[in-house]
Amino acid sequence: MKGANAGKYLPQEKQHIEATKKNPARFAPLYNFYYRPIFIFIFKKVRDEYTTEELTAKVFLKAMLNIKKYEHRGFPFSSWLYRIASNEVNMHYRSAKKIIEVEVMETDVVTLMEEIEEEDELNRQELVMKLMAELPLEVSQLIELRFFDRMSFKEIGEIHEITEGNAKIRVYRALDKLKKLVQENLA
Amino acid sequence: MKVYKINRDNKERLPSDETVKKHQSFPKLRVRHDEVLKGSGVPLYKNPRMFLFLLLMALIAYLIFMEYDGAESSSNQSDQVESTD
Repeated sequence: MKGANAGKYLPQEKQHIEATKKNPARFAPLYNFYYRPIFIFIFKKVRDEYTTEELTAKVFLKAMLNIKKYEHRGFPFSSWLYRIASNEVNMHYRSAKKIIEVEVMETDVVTLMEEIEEEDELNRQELVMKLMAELPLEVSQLIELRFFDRMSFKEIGEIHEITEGNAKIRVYRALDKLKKLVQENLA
Repeated sequence: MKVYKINRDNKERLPSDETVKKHQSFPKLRVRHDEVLKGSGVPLYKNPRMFLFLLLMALIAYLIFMEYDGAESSSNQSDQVESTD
């Protein structure tokens, strides 16, 4: 995952988690280690510093409140945090009274266009992104994770607690939906 | 609702380390955590919504009581009338 501590594990992570379950004050090492990557992950989706601060605080608060229920199922602790963060972002999109602008890099859009075999013209890029915003949040989120957050299928699988293979299937189904929508729109 | 805006200069504008650190505060998180665990601390009746709800419940209970009381007294009266007959 992207960010300062991207793909890194906090040394003795399991011990920190177990210690936090007994005493919430021991959450500090986990918080300090994962704060930046979660902040950046959310910032890319809301593009507002103070909204990001609030959502990041909610993510860590929920993690701290629910850590007793956390079970290590072979996925890194960070994937649990990213899952909470994704849910918080989706809730924010649903409740926001104004339209939220999500900035995406042109290079990432080009990669997406190649994947859905669409002509890479500026107008077509705009259309694809307009239609992608019309997809259900859970579907567009999969495309975002893969193409805009540049996560591997393994990382996407870890966030959704599914296998790498299943993550790949879900991402390709999401791409099919987008492709279909584009074709319907052009017909 | 969201819309995607394509950044064509491909320079990703991300917050600096200093900006992120400015927002990072574990003591603040602990305060929020403790507040949630303790509850907000405001008594239920001081919450305007809860106050209105309690008031409404009391009013409904009063109306039900009055209705029941009225029906009971009228049935007593009719019993008395029947016995004098």
